[in-house]
Amino acid sequence: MTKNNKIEETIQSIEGLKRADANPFLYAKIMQRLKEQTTVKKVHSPSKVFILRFALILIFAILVNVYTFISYSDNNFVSDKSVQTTNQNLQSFTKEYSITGSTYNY
Amino acid sequence: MITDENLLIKGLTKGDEDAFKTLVDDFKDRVYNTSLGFVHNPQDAEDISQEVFIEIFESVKGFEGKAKLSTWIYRITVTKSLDFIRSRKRKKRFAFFTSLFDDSDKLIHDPPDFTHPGIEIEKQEQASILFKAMNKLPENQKIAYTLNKIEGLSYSEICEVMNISLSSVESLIHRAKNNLRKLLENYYNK
Repeated sequence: MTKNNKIEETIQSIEGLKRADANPFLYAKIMQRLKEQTTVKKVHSPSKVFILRFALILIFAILVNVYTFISYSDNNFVSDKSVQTTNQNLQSFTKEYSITGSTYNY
Repeated sequence: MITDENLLIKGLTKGDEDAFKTLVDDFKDRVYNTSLGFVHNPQDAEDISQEVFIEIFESVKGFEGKAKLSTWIYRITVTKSLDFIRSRKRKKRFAFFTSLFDDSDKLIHDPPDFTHPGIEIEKQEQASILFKAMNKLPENQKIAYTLNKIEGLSYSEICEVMNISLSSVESLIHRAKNNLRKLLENYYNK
């Protein structure tokens, strides 16, 4: 058999194909799935989903606020400390060089 | 038993279970055969058929009657089947990674040869080669060719399902045949 004949025969192989039969219990299976879907929908009703989402957003917002507050107060503490250290250094410097007043004694 | 299409649609809109059963009984073979023509796997075709009828049940209220009921059902079937093929392709891309942890992905890697139950036994081997070649066709050509050759729809019915002109359908099927010839030539040259 030539190659062209093979090709044509292959293309013709599905001519006159008979329609495949679906599962005779298809309707029962569909109804079962529809019932399952309804149950799932009832369990996850939109109001419950909405409340859950709202609660998650609220928790997230609170966490962000707490984190920001903690990190801000930490920074303030560090800056206060650094101001204190600078003042101490200045005092020891003035003591060392006897610069105690605002006027100069020549 | 509801015979008139308008009565059937009215019943479906009201959520009548008898009307829905009639619809399933009337269309189940058409829906199953069409999806089987696309996905080439009986179990997947059955799952898609179920999804198609669930979609019909849930969205029949939005059916305006502009197209025939059968056209609407074929459209849903084609869309669901193509969605399934796309998701299977995505899974196949990731199958390499999943197979590193799990051996159960062998089916995704090596799908078995497909034999349509409606093909005569002596033609099944050649048909299986043709189905593999059909998988490589561009999407629109595959839709037109499958609806015509597997489901037996006329060109005018395909026009309605695909929402294109008659000449476009003719062109798609002509190009599909030419592409199949090229693909089969490469196959037999190996």
